[in-house]
Amino acid sequence: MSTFIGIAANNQTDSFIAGQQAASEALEHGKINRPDFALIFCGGKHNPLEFLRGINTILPGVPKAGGSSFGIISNDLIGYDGFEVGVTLFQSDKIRFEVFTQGELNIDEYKAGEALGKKIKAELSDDSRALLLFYDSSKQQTPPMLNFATPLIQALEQYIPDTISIAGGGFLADMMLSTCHQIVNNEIMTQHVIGILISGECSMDTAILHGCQPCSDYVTITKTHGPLVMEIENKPALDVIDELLGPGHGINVRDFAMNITLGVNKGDKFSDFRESDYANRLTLAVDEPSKSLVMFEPDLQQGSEVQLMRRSMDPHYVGKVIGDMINGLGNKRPVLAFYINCGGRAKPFSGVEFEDAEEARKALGNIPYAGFYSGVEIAKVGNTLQPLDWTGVMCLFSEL
Amino acid sequence: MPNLEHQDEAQKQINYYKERLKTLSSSLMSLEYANANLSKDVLQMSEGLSVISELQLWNTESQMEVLLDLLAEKINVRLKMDVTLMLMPVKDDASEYVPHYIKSYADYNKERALNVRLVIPEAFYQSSVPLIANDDSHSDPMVVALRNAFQLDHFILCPVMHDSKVIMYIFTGRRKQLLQSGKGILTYHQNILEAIGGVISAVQNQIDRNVILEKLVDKRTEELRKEKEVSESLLLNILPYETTQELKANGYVKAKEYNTVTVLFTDFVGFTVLSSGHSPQELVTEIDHYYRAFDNITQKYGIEKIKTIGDSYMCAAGLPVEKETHAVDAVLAAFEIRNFVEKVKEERIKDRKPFFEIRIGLNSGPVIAGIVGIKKFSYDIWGDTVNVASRMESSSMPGKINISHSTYELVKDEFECTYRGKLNAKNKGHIDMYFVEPK
Repeated sequence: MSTFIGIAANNQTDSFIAGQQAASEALEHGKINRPDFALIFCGGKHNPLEFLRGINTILPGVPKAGGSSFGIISNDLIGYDGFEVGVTLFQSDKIRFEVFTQGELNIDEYKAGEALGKKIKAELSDDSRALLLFYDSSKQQTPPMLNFATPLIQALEQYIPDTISIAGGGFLADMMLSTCHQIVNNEIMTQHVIGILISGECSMDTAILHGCQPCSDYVTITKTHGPLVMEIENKPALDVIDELLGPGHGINVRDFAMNITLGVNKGDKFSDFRESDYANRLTLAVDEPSKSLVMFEPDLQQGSEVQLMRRSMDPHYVGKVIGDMINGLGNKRPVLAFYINCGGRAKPFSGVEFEDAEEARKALGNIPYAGFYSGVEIAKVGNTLQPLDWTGVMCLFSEL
Repeated sequence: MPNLEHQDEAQKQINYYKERLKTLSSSLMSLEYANANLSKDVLQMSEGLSVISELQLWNTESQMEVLLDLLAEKINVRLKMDVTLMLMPVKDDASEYVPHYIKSYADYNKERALNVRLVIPEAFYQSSVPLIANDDSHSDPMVVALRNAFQLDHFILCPVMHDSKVIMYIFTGRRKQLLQSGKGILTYHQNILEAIGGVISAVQNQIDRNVILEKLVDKRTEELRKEKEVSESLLLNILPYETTQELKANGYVKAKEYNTVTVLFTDFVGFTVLSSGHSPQELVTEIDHYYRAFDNITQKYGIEKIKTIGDSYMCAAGLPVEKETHAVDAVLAAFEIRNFVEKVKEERIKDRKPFFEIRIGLNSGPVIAGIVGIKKFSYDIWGDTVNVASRMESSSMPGKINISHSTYELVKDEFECTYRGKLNAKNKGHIDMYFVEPK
């Protein structure tokens, strides 16, 4: 075996100890004696500087990439209380990692994507296989606003060949859009996008896990402004949602945030429901003065026909998607399953009766399992790279 | 027109089912939302219960400071709080409290919180009731004080009671939610914290009980130690120290041969005559007075008292630990014993009271020493040396110290020895005897 993976996670509240312990245990768990690369994540309640300092006592000089995360996923710990940290270590003769960064996301996502794309393109080689894309989701708290993945991806895609498998996620420190950090080697930054180019005798297969079904008529968005859906059917958006939810629904209008999901059916409007036909957008916040929904991404436009979506996940669905993915690997040997899961899908936020990351762990069997909870997820839907909401993106790394 | 009518009817039906579907969908959404909310609460409650259940592992050997630190961490992480701390009373002022064991998110101004000194009003202290504050509660002065102190929108201050008194407060809280309304602090948080307080109190109770128990154990141990000292002292009165150690270690004592020791006998002259004029009580008191003095003298010279037989006092030098100066030591002790008796005699004569005189005899040679019997056992010595020593005493004169030739050989350079000739000793024939005096 030429690839060793070491994964460790904990929820120590002392950031230094949390980092040190996770790094040390990752080495031990993976029986790693020559760490080549580390993916490192820490919860939003941690001090990233202390966390990195703790890690560096164990892994000085090891190339690293990661940052703030809403929660951590691993074989041993799945948590989203703000104090989780996770370290995934690689030692491989077959897989190489190269990290690229670009700042000023909050100023212009498109330009940041373009600049990053150029940097990556310049370093592409014949055996470049995959790209992990992480970015700072949190633009500002007042008014609450995210950095958008839509323009970032549109710009980036021009420079990355179709042969490269791409997946990623937006970092979110917490649901309050607190300052989010990105870490590359010994540098801690904000408002950056990170590209991790993965090359060598390897592959990264991805699968998308959704879990929403339409529960309303089609309604048409009639007025938008950036991520704001201001009017639906020529009426204030909040009033329409209130109407769609029915009388006495009991949901506080502020709690439309992180709950109300609008879906765009890209298939046949009146045929049987097919989840893969839907692009779903989650509500980030509500703007009560303008009675608008603030969406995670600005891609819902005037004229878009949408439906109110309800969450409908079942554990068998998760198992089936991952089972199909593993069965499709053929002769490839899976070395790591990396799950980028929407924070809203975590059990306490989704309200579903099971933990989908836990179901994924069961379905993966003995494959080393790591990941993080994100704000926005990125994956290819068909041949199009898309920002996704309320989605899990499973990335399966294999040796060829 | 029938077609139009048919279309109208169809549209009517479509509208009807659309409305029904809308109602059902909205009901489902509402239910799912309510269910999600309930799930969140249940999950939180189970996390809280697991914290309480983990507290059961606490015991009185755990260090309270470590436990409280761990507890603050557990509350903060498991109950999904942003800040948790323990308010402990300032030692010299029960109304003033300072925060300890602060657990918080990274950006929280911990230093500021650590400098807080909070005065708990007497009425609030006496009420012992938890205080829940969410961001809509502003008027209560206690809420305002806590909010200013710890900069949180939602919080609970829960007293930990012990022995009907508040021993500390648990303070924990959350920031205001940015995107959603947020539930803040709910009643079940209070229930969980109260249960945690109960466990702390139970542990404290146990600690208190242990302290009382430890004091009792210490007292009893001290009593036992004293009793042991008394019994050991008594044992040492009966047996030599080395022999007691052997007896304690093995449960028996082996008889031991000594090549040369000096055995000393004393006897009061005219005891029988004198005793007839005293009551038994007076006689015992009188004898005890002398024997106490003899005990002190023999102890001073490291001589082992063997026993008393009526008015005869028997001791031996050079055992149980062998000693080269045994004969000299025994003679020196004999001088002091003799002098003591003589001194008492002079005083008694002066007071015109009856008195004792004493004969002393010494002999040196081999003996066997050991313990016999299992009840009221005593350390004793056997051998011809003992018999000859007894003969030396019976052949002595009042106020004199009579020694055998073997003793003479060992002390002749140290003392003034006067040869008495070969005198008859009962069952021993004629043997050399000497009176000994200091030079």
